[in-house]
Amino acid sequence: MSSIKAADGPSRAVGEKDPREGPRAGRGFGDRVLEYTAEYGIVIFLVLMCVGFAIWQSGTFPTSRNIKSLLGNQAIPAILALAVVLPLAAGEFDLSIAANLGFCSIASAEFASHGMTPALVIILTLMIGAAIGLINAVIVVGIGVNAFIATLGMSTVLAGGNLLLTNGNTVFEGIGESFTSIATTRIFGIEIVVLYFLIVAIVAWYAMERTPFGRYLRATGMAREAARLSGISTTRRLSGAFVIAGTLSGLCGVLQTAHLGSAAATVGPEFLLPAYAAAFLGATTIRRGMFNVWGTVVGVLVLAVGINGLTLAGAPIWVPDVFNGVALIVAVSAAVLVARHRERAKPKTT
Amino acid sequence: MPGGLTVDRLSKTFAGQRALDDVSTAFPAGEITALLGHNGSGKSTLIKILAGFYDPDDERTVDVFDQELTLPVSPRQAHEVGLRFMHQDLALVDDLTIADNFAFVDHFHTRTDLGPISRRREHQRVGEVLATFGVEEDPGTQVGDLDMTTKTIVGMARAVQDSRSSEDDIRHHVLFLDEPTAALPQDEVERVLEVMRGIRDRGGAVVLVSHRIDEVMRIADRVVVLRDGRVVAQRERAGLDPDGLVELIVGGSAADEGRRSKAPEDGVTLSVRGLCGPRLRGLDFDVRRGEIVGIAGLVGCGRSELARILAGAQRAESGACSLAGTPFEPKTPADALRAGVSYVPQDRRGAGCITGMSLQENLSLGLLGRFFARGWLNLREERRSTREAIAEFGIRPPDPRRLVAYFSGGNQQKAVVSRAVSRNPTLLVLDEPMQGIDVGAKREIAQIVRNLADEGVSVLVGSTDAADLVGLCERVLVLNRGELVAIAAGAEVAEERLTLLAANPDGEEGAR
Repeated sequence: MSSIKAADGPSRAVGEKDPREGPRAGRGFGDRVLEYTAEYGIVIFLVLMCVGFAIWQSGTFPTSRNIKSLLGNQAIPAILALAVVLPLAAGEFDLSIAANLGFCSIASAEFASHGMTPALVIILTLMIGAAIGLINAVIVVGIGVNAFIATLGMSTVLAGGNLLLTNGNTVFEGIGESFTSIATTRIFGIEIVVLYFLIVAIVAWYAMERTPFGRYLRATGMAREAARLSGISTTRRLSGAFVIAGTLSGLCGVLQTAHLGSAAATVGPEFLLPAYAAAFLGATTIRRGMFNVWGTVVGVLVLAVGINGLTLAGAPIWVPDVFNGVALIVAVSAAVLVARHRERAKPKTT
Repeated sequence: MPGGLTVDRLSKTFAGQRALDDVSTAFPAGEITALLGHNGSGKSTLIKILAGFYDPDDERTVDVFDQELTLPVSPRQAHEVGLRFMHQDLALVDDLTIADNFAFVDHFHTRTDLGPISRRREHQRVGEVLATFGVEEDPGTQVGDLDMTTKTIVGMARAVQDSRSSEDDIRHHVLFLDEPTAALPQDEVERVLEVMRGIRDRGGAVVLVSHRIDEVMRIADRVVVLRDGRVVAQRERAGLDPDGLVELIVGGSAADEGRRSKAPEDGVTLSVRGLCGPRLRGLDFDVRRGEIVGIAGLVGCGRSELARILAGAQRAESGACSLAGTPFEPKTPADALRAGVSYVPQDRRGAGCITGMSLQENLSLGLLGRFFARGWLNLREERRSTREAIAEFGIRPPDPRRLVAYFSGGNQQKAVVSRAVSRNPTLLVLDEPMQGIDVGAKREIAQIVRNLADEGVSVLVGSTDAADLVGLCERVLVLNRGELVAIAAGAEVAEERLTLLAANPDGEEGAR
């Protein structure tokens, strides 16, 4: 077929490497630095923030007392943030986690004030948390109600339940040392809730990254039909995610009561936004574009360190809310931008 | 030839890979140019640069009807100089009317953005445009109620129509069509081709991306062939024969018809009796061990439904199936897989694979149990197994960690097929496995299917394009409106015969 007008070969210098030889060929040092910076951007931000506050508030921020109290106070919000990672990874919102925490906090306070042993209180409360998760699962997975609406409704129901149980009062009478010690016992000066958090984080990481459950949960979140057709029971994974999220919220509820020694009728809602902010911040790092455990932990720390540092610097009381809200918006914006950048750069053809 | 689009020395590199390498070509006015090439040859990259979705490596000036346009451009600029694009999925919103869909591209005709929309005027204007394209539907019809062919034509009309000026402006447009006929039934294709001819005859430049060689032979005035990001040929279509064209695209000899080394065996693997579903009306057929059976028929004939019922993705309303002698009534896809039926769905990107996951994660979807031991996922073992599949099925590039979204359609399909095969099925059900993939990948997949059948696996292949079934299937079931109207076997498995049976079953005596 000599008549075909073939285009001339590309003008490439002799000996120059064909860029098609390897996917990484031709990528400079600068590109890789950029890639890592994007991947670990918020980790770097966290470190810079710590260094900054350590210099700015050198008398208060970098002290062992401040750090210990910071960790002790953030353990429960951190566990709650991990609770939202599972439904989010499966592609659904669970907005009832904070109300679940509140309800379980009050329930456990009632149990404890009626003289139940700490072990029994924990078991009963976890069962309540799990049951709430199960009801969510039935409504969302079984009936097919939009999860956003179903769990928002559940939140409101639980908030009403709190008033029913407490009459609007704070429950504190009869909550003894034996119960509060499950959260406040110190190991090397650090409250034991931090240890609980570490255990939950490791188990959650293991479940998400090293078991078929976690992989299939992600598959369910990314493309439900494709997951189902490949033989994965997406309804089971999704239900599992809601039940685990509910159980972890219940755990946070018990620990919250034990940590404070009381439960106010209004406890709960303030935990919601930080948990989501942390999860979304987390999705911009470590495993970018995916909700992941260690990213979420970094997210919790970013929020905690930011608010703690600003408070120490004398910031007024409205700052924490603004900081949380801005962080959530910035995190989600960053995630969107990262995704768009990838989309543009993707070597997609035909 | 004056006018049209001229592209000069355009290059694009992605992460070190040249997707487009110094491409210079032209798409003249008043001609239909077929832009051909494998998946991954650079066609989409070229189009996306022109559409303003990608930036080229270096700034380049292209010539559009004697206007100079400097790339990179924004999608808006590209639109304004007359570069128009119709995506494969048409980008029409089913829930809105035709007129409202037009308004997305063209704005509503109000004095200001806050001015009231005159439905009457919008409808009148859109109705006039539709009439020039031979569409008789009312502009107030919901797009979702249109058949695929009319939808495609509406998409084309929307792309070339221009609001604020006269209808002559088609003369200054370059219309890119990405596989406009891929999802259409064979007998409707001509309507779309006719619209393309109309646009050409009114002086527009039409660029057609298509994998259907017969269609290109019928309609194109010119062909531009890309391979590995370079232009390997650009010439008049007249004087080329189909084999020559395929040879240009694949870069080798076209005479490569695969053969099976064994004949189907005697035992019956799948037996279907009186199967009914929302579309299907009482199907009866058997598939033998090691037999490749095609399912032909137009869109809506019940082909996908049959595949989905066998895959457990949808329940049958009545009827009975048995698999290797035991009753087979899967309630879920998991049931079907356990019973030994693997399924490759028609919607590759939406249901076949998870594009946001890596190749490795896709290949082990539903199979992670194999790599889960002593409480841990053995990721190294998973990767090793992925590499084996990459080698066996020829998936390129051979990178287990690459996101599936970044593979070309043909390679995505090979990945989906390889996962289905790795279940060691007794029956493999493939729904439109060849849709939207290039000639080379089609051959590779056909060969995979033949090898499986040689090992005793029974295969059902559904396709609206009879050409995909010829040379592959021993028998072909022809469906029409949910009924089995013919079973073609032997010499009857020929493209013209199947197309005729599928399109016009009443004119034929039953071939059974």
